[in-house]
Amino acid sequence: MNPFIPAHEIAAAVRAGEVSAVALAEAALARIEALDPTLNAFTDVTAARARAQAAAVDAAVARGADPGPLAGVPFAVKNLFDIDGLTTRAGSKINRDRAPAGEDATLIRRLDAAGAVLLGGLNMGEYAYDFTGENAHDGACRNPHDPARMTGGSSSGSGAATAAGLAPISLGSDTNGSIRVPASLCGVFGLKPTYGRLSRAGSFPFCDSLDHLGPFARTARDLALAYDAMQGPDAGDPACRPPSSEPVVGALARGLDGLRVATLGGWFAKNLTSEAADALARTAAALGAAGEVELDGVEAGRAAAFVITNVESSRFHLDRMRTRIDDFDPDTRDRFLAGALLPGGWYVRAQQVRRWWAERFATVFTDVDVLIAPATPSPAPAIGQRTLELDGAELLLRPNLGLFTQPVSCAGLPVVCAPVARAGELPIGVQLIAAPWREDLCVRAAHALEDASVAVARRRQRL
Amino acid sequence: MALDEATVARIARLARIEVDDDRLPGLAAELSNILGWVEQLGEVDTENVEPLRAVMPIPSRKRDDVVTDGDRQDDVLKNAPDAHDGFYVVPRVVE
Repeated sequence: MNPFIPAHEIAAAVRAGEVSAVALAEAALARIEALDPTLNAFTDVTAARARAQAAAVDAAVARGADPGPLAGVPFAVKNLFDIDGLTTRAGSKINRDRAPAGEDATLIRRLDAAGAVLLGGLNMGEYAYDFTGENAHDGACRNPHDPARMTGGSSSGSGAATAAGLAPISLGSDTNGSIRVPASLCGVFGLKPTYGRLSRAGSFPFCDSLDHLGPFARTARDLALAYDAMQGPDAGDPACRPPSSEPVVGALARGLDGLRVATLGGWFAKNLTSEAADALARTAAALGAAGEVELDGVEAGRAAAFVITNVESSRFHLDRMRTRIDDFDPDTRDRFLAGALLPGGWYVRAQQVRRWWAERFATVFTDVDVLIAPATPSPAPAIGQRTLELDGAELLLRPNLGLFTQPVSCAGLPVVCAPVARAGELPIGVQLIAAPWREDLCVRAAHALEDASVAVARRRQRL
Repeated sequence: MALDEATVARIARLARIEVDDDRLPGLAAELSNILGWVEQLGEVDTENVEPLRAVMPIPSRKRDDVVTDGDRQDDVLKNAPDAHDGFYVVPRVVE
């Protein structure tokens, strides 16, 4: 069975009774067993649960019931999502001492209800504070396109599992770029919805005011299907207050019709490798971008994201730092500590700058529907690499992989990261950004790029 | 702006976080970094900018004004040491 069949085709075949969900689950489990020793994407495989869920889907089909729009579609989740019966480790050593979760996270329950079949939990950067995909406790997650390279993080396993054909749908979280960076480096689609759109109930947080959850997929339609299945208010997440559930699958057919597209200039046009610049240019051409929009103050918007991240995450982890600092990943330990020492006034100031920045960003959308921006400054760096050469300067790699994602999530805007590398080259993505609550526009633009054969989740020949 | 280790040690003490001496250089570097971000925040005029509570407006949650948990007199009275005619029986407090 071809492991790269899109989720929507899997679901159609399962609903028509042409393929059994159990056979699909078995194939996915066998593939994980064969490839995961190389990729290190999975930290838990829920094989028994997958078989039971798949059997339930097949039984529903057999009795003529509707098993849901994602019938039999295998999926996996970043290990900060609660999975009933498993300990939610959130990439850390410390959390392994916690009791197992007593129920699934809301988004898992919603995918379940749509007929999808959970395969397990995925590797991630410790406490989601990571752009590389390296993890001191579980080992680095490896890029399916070249296992010597990074997946990007912190949703490293999500990017790798979907890129390698281990799970056509996966879930991740994005605080400063943790869905978009691995989607870009692994060559798959990723959606970071509007802040407050998808419920975070039953997930281990990083920074409450910046945390988003969202899906990864190999096609724009699959991304839309998974996203639609997860929408809806949830009392379990106080920030989850979408104006209404707004399914986007139906919008895909509208293509580019009437979409006003522009490219973000200035900050977003600098510090790019030739591959990233080429990706932008081809995306702009395919979407008929009318020109460049330049925003001032991007640095301040990004600085606000940094300070807010520092303060909120350190406050959240303070007790763990006081009692178990040596069990933190050495790469983030000092950053967590530093965040605990910042004066409150800086945080308030950062939130003010954030409002200022979000309001400036919002003004652009009176004339433009979709903005194009780079997702990462370069394709995947080598595992262990510490610096990145951009525009002739050598910069620290860890913070700068998020150079282009961080200012966008700080404003809470919906973004699809679409894979636009040329055939035979390492993956790289672009961000397709829309006004708050307009995920439909991001997904339409991604689908149009796919139709133009510019966005493709390519598979590596050997996988 | 760079912070020296003595300053960092003092800040850590004020925050009631124990930091070993060998961790001070790394911590000083991280804090100096953050000072850089704060300087950038200072370049924006926030004189007339309202503080931000949530980046997307969060309307307050409303529930339907209906009884969801009531009419359970028998269950409630099980908590009582004594009950009579659907009421709690308590010791006489006023003579």
